[in-house]
Amino acid sequence: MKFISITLLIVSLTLFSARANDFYPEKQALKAVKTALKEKDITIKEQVGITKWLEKTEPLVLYSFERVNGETFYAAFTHSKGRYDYFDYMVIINTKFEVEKVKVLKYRSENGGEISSKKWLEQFIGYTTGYLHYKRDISAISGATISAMSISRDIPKVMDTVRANLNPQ
Amino acid sequence: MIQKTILAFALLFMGMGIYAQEKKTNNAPLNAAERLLASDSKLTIGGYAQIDYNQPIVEGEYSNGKLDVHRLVLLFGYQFSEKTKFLTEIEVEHVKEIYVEQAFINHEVKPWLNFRGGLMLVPMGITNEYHEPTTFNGVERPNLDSKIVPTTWREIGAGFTGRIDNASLKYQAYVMNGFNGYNDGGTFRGTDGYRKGRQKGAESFMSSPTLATKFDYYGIPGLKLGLSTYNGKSQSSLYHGLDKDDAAGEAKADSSVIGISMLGLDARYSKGGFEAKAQFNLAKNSNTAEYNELTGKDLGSEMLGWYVEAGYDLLFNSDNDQRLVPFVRYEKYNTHSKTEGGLAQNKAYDRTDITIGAGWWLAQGAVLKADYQMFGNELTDSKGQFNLGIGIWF
Repeated sequence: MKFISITLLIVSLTLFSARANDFYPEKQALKAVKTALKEKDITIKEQVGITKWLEKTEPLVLYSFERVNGETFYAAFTHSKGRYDYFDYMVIINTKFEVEKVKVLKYRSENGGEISSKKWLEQFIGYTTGYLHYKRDISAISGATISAMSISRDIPKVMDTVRANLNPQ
Repeated sequence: MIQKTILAFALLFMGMGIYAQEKKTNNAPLNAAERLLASDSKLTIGGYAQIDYNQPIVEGEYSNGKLDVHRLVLLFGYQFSEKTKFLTEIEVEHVKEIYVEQAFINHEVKPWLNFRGGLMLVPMGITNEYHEPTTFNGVERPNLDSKIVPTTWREIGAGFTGRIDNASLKYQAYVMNGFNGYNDGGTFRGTDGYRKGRQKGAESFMSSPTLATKFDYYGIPGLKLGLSTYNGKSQSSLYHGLDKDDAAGEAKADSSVIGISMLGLDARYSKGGFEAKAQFNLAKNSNTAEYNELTGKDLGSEMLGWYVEAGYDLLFNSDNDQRLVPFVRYEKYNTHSKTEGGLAQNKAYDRTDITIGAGWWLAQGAVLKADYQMFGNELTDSKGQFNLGIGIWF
């Protein structure tokens, strides 16, 4: 009985904390950023934080990067949910806390992958803060409604979390 | 006492885990199965259902209404690895008929290159692939997607699909089994073309494969454009066991198949509360004179149809997921747009349907529908039908 209880405790604690730590480790994150920006001379400065979203348990891994000219920027790695599956994406953010780029890194479902369209994701470029109304601020994408609504609602939360982490004032 | 305390803590933590999962989606609430299965689970459970009430209205006649659990479909997906997935949909039609609607394996080599094989939907037009009742206006699917595109059209096959994100393009290309056009008699007919020839993967037989392709382009904000093609011959049981030297037998078997070339163009547009859809299908059938002569059927050599539909979400500016969409759909389809071999065109197959109604989406996955349909053709008086429906998708 005691053994079973302790085992259950350990298993549940492990499950609870393990996910965020292996979510987009440094090497994978750097590769994703270089590919997305088509720039080779980028170095990873530090992992700014592994955190959970506000009011959520989603992993959000945030790194700072540096270009050769000394320019710093950030990239947040997180995921959102489509109808049945999670999809991973990266939000690249400049020091003014504006979105520079959003890229879907892994889309798992058979339907809804349309949100990975480079053109559709360009709508988030320049976003800083505030509610994004799907269909009004972000154009609809047929066949991917749930995923499109999901990422449109989550990016503002990602940005809020990032801002709170980097600039608590 | 200590044991009980540890057990209580263990259960508490597990409960927290489940609670955490419950709060995980910000917009789509988790259903019971998802909550239990949690995000790291490899198993997905979902489903959709369509419950209809159809009341024909014929002048000068009494008509009984029909109440039907038209479709109840259970979806199961299993993620074997990050790259390999199996997906199936088990359909119960009219409460008592069981079908497997889809059952395929998908292996992702790259996002732009996936291998897919099994029982799959033929990618033609909009509704055959997106047929869940919360995805279309009206209680019933468009009639074009019944009489010319025989939804839900699925066959066993294999091929490739993928997305090219930089070009906002999705493609599908499958080699698939074709319709059963002849099995101790012909199955195709003038009124609904290929509908009775669907094999649905149930002990289906093949005498020659067909090719189905679809390209979707979504690089213009709010717009999605589709181009579908389907090419091949129908299948015939007469080839099976036929002696290769039997010229007469071969000639008869050749008469029992038709060649099919179908083209589909579709568009979906949404801007603000406005939404519109349109679809065009053209199907050319070769060898229909011989086929009709052999089988006594009246299959047309060309079927042509289209529909346009527009609606407006009156709750567009609300902050919740509810939608209230009045809509109108105009359909024109002719399964005898051309005939050959002396077969007279049946004007009753030259049809015009108008559907006017509204859908109230209580939530993203639940809709109540009401509409009135007018079915007209070039030969007889038009008929009306009032429909009420409940649609869900989770």
